[in-house]
Amino acid sequence: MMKRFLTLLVALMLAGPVLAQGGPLRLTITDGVIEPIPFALPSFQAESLEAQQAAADISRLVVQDLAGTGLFREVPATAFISQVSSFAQPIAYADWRAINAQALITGAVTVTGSQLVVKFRLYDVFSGAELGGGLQFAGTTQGWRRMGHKVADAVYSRITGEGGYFDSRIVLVSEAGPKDNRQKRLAIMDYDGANLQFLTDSSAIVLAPRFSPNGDRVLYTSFESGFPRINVLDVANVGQQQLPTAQGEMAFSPRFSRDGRQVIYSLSNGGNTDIYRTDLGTGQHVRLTSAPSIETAPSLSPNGDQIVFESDRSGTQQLYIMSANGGEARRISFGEGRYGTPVWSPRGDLVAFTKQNAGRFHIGVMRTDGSEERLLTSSFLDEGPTWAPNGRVIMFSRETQGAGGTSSLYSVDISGRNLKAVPVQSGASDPSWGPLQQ
Amino acid sequence: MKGPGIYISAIGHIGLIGWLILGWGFDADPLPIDPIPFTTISGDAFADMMAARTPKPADAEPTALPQPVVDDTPPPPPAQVATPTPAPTPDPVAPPVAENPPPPPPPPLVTEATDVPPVAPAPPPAPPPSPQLEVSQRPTPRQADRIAATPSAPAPPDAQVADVAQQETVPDAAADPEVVLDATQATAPPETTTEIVTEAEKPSGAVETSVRPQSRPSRPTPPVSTPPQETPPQETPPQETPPTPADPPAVVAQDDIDNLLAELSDDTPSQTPTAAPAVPAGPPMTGAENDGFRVSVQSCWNVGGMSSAAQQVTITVAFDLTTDRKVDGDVRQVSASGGDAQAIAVAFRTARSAIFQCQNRGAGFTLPSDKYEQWREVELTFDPSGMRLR
Repeated sequence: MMKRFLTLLVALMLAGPVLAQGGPLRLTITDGVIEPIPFALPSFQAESLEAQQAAADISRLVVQDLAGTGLFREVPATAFISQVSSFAQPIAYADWRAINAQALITGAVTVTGSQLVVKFRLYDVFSGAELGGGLQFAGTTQGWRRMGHKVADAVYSRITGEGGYFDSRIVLVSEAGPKDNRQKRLAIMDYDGANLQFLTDSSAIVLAPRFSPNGDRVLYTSFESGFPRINVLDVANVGQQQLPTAQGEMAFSPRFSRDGRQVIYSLSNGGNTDIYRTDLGTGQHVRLTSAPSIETAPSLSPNGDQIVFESDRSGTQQLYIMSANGGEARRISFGEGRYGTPVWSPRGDLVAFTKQNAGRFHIGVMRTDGSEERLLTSSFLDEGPTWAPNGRVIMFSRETQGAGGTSSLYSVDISGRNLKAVPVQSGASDPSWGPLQQ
Repeated sequence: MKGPGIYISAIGHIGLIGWLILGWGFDADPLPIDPIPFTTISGDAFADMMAARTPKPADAEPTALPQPVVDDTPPPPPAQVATPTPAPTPDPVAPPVAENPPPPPPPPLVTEATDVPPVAPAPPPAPPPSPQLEVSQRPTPRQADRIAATPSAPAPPDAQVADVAQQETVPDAAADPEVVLDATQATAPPETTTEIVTEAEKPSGAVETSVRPQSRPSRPTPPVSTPPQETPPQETPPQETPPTPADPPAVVAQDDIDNLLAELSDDTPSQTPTAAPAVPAGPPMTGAENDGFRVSVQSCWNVGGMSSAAQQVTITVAFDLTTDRKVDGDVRQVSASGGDAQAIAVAFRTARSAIFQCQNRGAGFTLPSDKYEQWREVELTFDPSGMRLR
């Protein structure tokens, strides 16, 4: 018995090195890099004389969209080895590899009267193959920006594997005048600050606008009557209707449900603030919390099953999650300071929030169980986060210190990178990011 | 009482001895031997050859050298040398009396007594004032566009950002003017940190600047002396002095050897293999070689552009390499886990792009050429789980 064991042991010892040398070289890569992906975009071809300006504008806009994400980096045209003179021209991949362009975008623009057609192709340079098929969009010459955004969205989606956010709009509170007499109006604009349009006048203070899931309506809080009330505004015709509220009650902090048929909001009555849900079709409302503390800022999960909100029931302002039908809530924030304005991400994996601690305001994210809290910003006053449609970027408002301080919009990647100001023609606050336009 | 340990020990020793007698049980390949062509020659031929190289002695008998002549006469005695007489002692001489007294010494410089301490010698020039540095409360890496496993400092302002760092080529005035080097600009890798630094994590008290160290005093430059006109060193091997007519035997001997070697080479069958050289198998890859290959690939694996879903995917890909360390064919997906089809597609494309991009950065991958069989087939597993929270 012992002899067999020793024989087996010796055999295994002899076979070990032989077995180890057989087969392919196997390695595990765990540490990669995070850096912008270099791409090349030769100016889109103008296939008619009238299309020259549009081709140049759309090319520039696509570059701005992609490079503005922080995930991509444009290879300057001065580095190009080969030129693209035709949309159907074969691609000299070696020339683009030589300048380390990982993606190549070619396109062409045609203008016929007021109609504009833009088409593009995306190439994976190192694979030497086209990434997805060619695509074209048709519209009017006035809508060239939307078509440029759509091209950028398609490129972004094909490379990263997740949806883009360039062809989307923001509803916000436009601000003007000094701090002690600030004029506030509802406004709507493209995600990059272009095409700013006002939805209300400045006769009444307006707060906290929120887009509907399909972007056709906006909920907001108005002080037109002297008390906070919730209005529903139709974006197409600017028509409004007010959520029914009893005398002496204050309604604020509204959000649409995921199907857009219901509204969850805070209602203050007799010094107590709780969360309610109202059906816009029937007017029926349901009380979801009944604690003596202040419960506000509700936000539904993407599947509509849960609500995250802020409450001071523990003595300080913290974040809680409960069922969409109310009931017992569990606390998810346990760090130092106060947490508020939670917003559930479109992906459902994270909650964005505003945190106040040690005299500073932060925008942060955490998982829905409260783990992996990460503060992304820090300033005198940051608040009101809103998610991009793809759940990758957060926009918020930042106010500077002092009597002459102004409020403006900023965006940041959920990793904390690419923090930058959103160019708005006026002061701005309370952004709400709408869905991708159809 | 013999215990089982005795039996185990005996069996083990017997097995070991038998194993040694049987030659370790391995069929070891003989070490490679470089064949050297040789032959044997007869003793007469060798003697003739050596005789031809040895100069023959002269036919005449040697003559004795003339004996040196010895002079027996004693050398003359040395000439008498006069003994030097000592010099007379000089008489003491009174000091001369000066008719005019010497001028009094100049009065000492009188300065008003003050309480001011004497002026100290001028100190050496003080270094430039250091900027007020605040103490960093917490070391936090600076923000950078590139996140990787190993940090790198920002590129110098006059350097171009590139994957490989290289120094600027500066023309050397003292160099040979005929040797013209390609002017290359200094390059440095892009600034890299090991983790993402958000605005909130940026400590306000962080050190933003550092004192530039004082430069060392430059050494005195040696005087430039005109070097004497020297003949430049000859790089060619020294030419052999042509055989003079006085050395005909050597010429004959060299010719003989050459002819002999030529004959031998003609007679000897060719040892050069005509078939293609065998692919080197080599010993197994060392840990350092594996790490070098892994680091080169991971420096090209950019997970920043992947979707969150794709960052959950662990994917294994395989590919073959040619002897010049290039991918032979295409990269194949072996397995994947942790995501849907779209996420897996993005993860595969990112891994594939990393392999090809890394290959194109230089002349193929960094792999030992004498171990081709060890890396001819490669299987890489890309696991981004550690990168999600960078």
